[in-house]
Amino acid sequence: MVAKKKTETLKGNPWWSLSYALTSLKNYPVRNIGIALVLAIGITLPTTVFVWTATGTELIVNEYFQEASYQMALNPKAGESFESSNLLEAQSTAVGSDFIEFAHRVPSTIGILTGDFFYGWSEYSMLGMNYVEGIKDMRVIITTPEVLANWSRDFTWRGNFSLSLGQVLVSEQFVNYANEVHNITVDVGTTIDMDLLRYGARGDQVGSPTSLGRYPVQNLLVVGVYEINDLGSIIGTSFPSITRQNWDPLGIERDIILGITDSVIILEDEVGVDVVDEVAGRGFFQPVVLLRPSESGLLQHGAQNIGTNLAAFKIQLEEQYPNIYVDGLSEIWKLESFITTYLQSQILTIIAFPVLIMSLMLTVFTSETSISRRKGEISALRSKGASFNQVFSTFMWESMFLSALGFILGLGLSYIMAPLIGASTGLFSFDPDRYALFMSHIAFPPLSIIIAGAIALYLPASYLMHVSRRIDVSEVGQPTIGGASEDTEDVGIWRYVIGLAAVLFALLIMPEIITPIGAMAIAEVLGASLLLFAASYLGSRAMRLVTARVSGGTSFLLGEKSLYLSQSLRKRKGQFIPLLVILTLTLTTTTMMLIQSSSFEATLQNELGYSIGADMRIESDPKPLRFSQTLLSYPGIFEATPIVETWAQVGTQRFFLEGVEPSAYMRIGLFSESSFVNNDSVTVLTALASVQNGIVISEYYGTLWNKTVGDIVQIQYGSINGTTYNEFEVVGLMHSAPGFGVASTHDISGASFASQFGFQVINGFALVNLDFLSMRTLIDTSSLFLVDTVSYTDMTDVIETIEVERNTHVFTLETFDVGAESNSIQLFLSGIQGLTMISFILCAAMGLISIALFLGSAVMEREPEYAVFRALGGTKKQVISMVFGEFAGSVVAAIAISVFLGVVFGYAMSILTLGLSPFIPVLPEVLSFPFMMMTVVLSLESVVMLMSTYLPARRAGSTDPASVLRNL
Amino acid sequence: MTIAEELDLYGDYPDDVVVSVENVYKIYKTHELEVVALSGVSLQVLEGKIMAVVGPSGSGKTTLTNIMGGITKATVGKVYWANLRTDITKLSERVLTEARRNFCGFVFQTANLLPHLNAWQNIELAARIAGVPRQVRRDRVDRLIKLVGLEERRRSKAPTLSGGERSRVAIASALVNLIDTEGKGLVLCDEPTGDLDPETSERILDLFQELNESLGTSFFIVTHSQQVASKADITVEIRDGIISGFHQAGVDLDTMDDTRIVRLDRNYRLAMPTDLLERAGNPTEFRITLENGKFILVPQVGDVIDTMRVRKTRTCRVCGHEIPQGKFICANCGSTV
Repeated sequence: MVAKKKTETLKGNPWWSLSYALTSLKNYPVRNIGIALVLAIGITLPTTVFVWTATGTELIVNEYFQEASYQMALNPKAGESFESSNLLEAQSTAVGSDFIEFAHRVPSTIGILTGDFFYGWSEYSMLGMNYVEGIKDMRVIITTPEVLANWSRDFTWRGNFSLSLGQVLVSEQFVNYANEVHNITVDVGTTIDMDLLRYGARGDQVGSPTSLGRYPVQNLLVVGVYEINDLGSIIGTSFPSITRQNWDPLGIERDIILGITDSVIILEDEVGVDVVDEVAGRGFFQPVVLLRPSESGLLQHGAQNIGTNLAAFKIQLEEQYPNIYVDGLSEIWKLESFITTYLQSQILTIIAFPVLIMSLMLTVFTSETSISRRKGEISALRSKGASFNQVFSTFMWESMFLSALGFILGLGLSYIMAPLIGASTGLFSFDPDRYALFMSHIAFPPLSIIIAGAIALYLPASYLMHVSRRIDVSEVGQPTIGGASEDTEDVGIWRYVIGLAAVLFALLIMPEIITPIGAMAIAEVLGASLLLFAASYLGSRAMRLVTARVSGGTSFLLGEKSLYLSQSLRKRKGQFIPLLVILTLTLTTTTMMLIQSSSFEATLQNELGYSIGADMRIESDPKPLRFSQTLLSYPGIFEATPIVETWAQVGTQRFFLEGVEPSAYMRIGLFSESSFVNNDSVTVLTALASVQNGIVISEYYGTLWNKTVGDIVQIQYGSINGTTYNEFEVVGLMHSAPGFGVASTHDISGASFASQFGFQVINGFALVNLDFLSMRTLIDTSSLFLVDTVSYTDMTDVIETIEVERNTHVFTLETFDVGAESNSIQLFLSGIQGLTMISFILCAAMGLISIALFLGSAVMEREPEYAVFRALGGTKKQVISMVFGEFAGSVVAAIAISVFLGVVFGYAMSILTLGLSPFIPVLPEVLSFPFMMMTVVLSLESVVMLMSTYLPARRAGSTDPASVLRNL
Repeated sequence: MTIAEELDLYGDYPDDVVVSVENVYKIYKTHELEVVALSGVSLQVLEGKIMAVVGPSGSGKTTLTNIMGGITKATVGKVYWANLRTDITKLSERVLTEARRNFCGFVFQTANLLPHLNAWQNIELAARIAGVPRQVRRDRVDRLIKLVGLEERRRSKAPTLSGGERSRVAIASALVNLIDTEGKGLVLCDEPTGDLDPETSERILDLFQELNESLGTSFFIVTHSQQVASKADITVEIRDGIISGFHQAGVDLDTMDDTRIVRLDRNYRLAMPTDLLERAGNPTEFRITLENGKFILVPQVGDVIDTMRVRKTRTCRVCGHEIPQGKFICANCGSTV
């Protein structure tokens, strides 16, 4: 058989799918932007938290490094010289480290101001009465332009803060002293001469110009007068001052001299390398090597490790060079605690977990319905010769574009939202300046990008799972427009109600069964999020049936519309259930988060009040006990009681004895029902008052020592004359007491709020009678007074008056600045509040997007129905009111169910959130329902949602029956 | 490269066969139920001819079309495509899709146009998918759009077109990859005039004929319409998945000829046209005689079995009374047979 010619087959255009995907994206802008936005919302939340913490970390690290030019300094140890300490080698070792950006060696010595007004000197001693003899000596710091440029942030100055040859910078104090000694005015523009002393001498040793290596430097033009900003900074402490009597050997006045405040700065080139070396090696003062750690180098090893790394570096250097002392890093631990809190706050992400899941759910749902709606399109493409792979890749391209768009939008939203958390000052309020500051330093940590990318990839991944199935079942030859309508659903409402009740029961019982602390709290928050979804689903199904029934029963109000409405609400579960679920979820989440964050704040306030212990708490240097009587003379102060404190020990357990006046303490202290075990405060404190050597011990010690009320405890404790020993009779057991925190810190497994405020007694305490304790220990002073004030009185003036006294601090609930006292709590609080604000914004956005997506497509799908209505003689207005009624009904149903669910979930989630926080409350959690805020926020959201349903209704009204019915 | 190319196992087919369907069965399995949609169908579409298929709903017309177009796989049987010179039932989805691109075009009742594309783009789409170079593609679409008379409406989006215009676009779109193929191409049409008024249908059918004449493309049209059937070169009647007859050009569906051509299937079975059977009182048996080279088929009015049964009726040997079939005791005298 002879082979016949065969026709070529067409291999297909591999890029067609890409171009088709682009057209398709362009052609359904609303749907696609909707999907991308919803995805973006999902990306935003976790990313925002990470961006916030990273930015916050960077900001504080930045602030730390901005504050001063140097953070460390290398000094030869006392008794060691420049040579013997091996300072140069240590410097090069330091520079070689990743953690050090640069090191500057700065020699300094003493110089003597000379000039026409001064007829020379023949001998000099550093500790001599120089000023009265007309010798104005000062520290001469020898530096380079490079070093000087780096110093500028530590100084304020007049004139310039840079040098060239023949110029000098002088300190403000030097100018003053020069004026005092020589009656001359040194200022910018004048010239000075000086003798530089190359060789040092011991403080009281007298040296001649020759022995001190006099080196005249002349005609130096003063170009700037400076003053150091912070004497405690590294530069400040590296050039310390001494005090000396300058004028009157019998007087008491001593001048502060020869430090950085009484100095001049010249360039190395002014004196030459040899002189610099001589000064460094033999000068009056040892040279100092100033170190600036490398911000980037440290951040590379993790922001949370900055403190540890620098401390390790310091120790390593000191070990390697035993004759060197490394100064600095005093502030590094504060920095590190900040960073740690930021890192701990990342756990807050999971509070926003429901929003994340919701957005992913919505993304998948929308994309899947959009694919199933495009069955006809798929079939058309297949009939036109598109292969399975071509159609498949079209959809994959689309999903990739949407995912990329969502990714970019998500990061963009994070860019806007993250500073909002950082700048939040309360629920729905923020500080614009701080917002701008955060925004200008915004940092996207790699982890946030990875998380964002992973969430973004979720869309293509879900396409990958679903699309192929959809394409496969699409038969060739289906209509390209329109879809099958759904049947009326006929199910009872009871199954949903019972299901909902079961879910809510599970939610409320969960924290009761397992205490939500740490990892367990995380698990329970996740569990509660799942229950939230289940509840929203069940609740919206039930609500839909209720609305259907209600609108069915209101025919007297709605007329014929009610028939359509009730049927329509029963029908179309495909569209309305997801929409209702989403709306319910968004509104519930908003309500829940409002309650959550307001409860956290309420608990915080409650803890604060209890920690302070009374209306007013005064901490001061020891004052006589009768100071409490003095306090009564202030207006508004009703009663005051002193507290006497001493250390105590039983076996190896150390704690404190707090001596109180039981009756006064009973009236002044802000007791809680949970303060004492099985008794109220009145009973226990009355008992204490009646037993002279009575003691109230913590329940923990009671169990540990096997002591209970009536038993005797033998306690060693500190008194003025040393350790004393006594027997105490237990009159009560307690958990905690106002003003002192938790009675035994062993009772709680973490930091209490009180400890964050600084009011927790270390280890724990026991309450005893003040009279007894004072008598036994001979302590007759107190550093702590608890004060009762007349209610509703403005105590500001009183507080100011009391605080005028040195080292006296007054604390009240109203004036306590949480931010200033505990950065950690403040950070956590603003994290929760910021997240609430963001979640609200994102939830509202998501609600609106889903209304646009779902109702938009519902209207499109049901155009024939509306057309039939119009054709049957319905007016445009009638169609609009009918459709609006239906849509609005759904939204109202969602609002109704979500207020209920929001309150229940808010209650449960508040307990779980407190479990997440790194601080443990001493008292039971306080739940706060901000009804005013909830009403405002929810009604605002509801009004916007209701209004947004009007748009699709109007579109339904403008259906043209002629064209729609023709194209049926 | 297939083995068929080297050996040309299908070289037996005459050159003018475009698609041949041989003894094709299609069984749909849904849940536990099996539905036989086609049961041993054989037919050939010839080059440059219009073939129409008529038959009641559910008779398997659409299934047959899809099997011919390679969209649905036959359960049993062979489907030969002239361009591949092979049986396509054994080919992979990918090869089939590639081969179909310039061999088969589809026109459906619902014109299957993409709503976001205009007329011109809808026609072009198939060529784009197939990867036809831009210039060639443009040239072809321009020619086709002129051919179907839609130059004025080229920029109109699909939903704004009238029913007839949509059909035209669909036809042009089906032809876009066939128009330049110097070989056989086939347009499979499933109820192309289903929702058109008679006048528009007429114009569409004229277009089919025109295109058939000018391009030499074969058309395979599934229809309910008398109009369509009358324009076909040959009309196939299909009932319950079996071809019940062929009609020459100009068939009248209402008074379908008393005569028609029936064809033996591979099992030497002949399907009887049901309408004729009805008119003959639904006979179930025929006497077939070969006389002077003609088969004469005479319906048997009485059943053969009935006569057999009659013969089995006995007479009582005792009293002579008739004993009915199946009884063995005489009702009259009680004697046993």
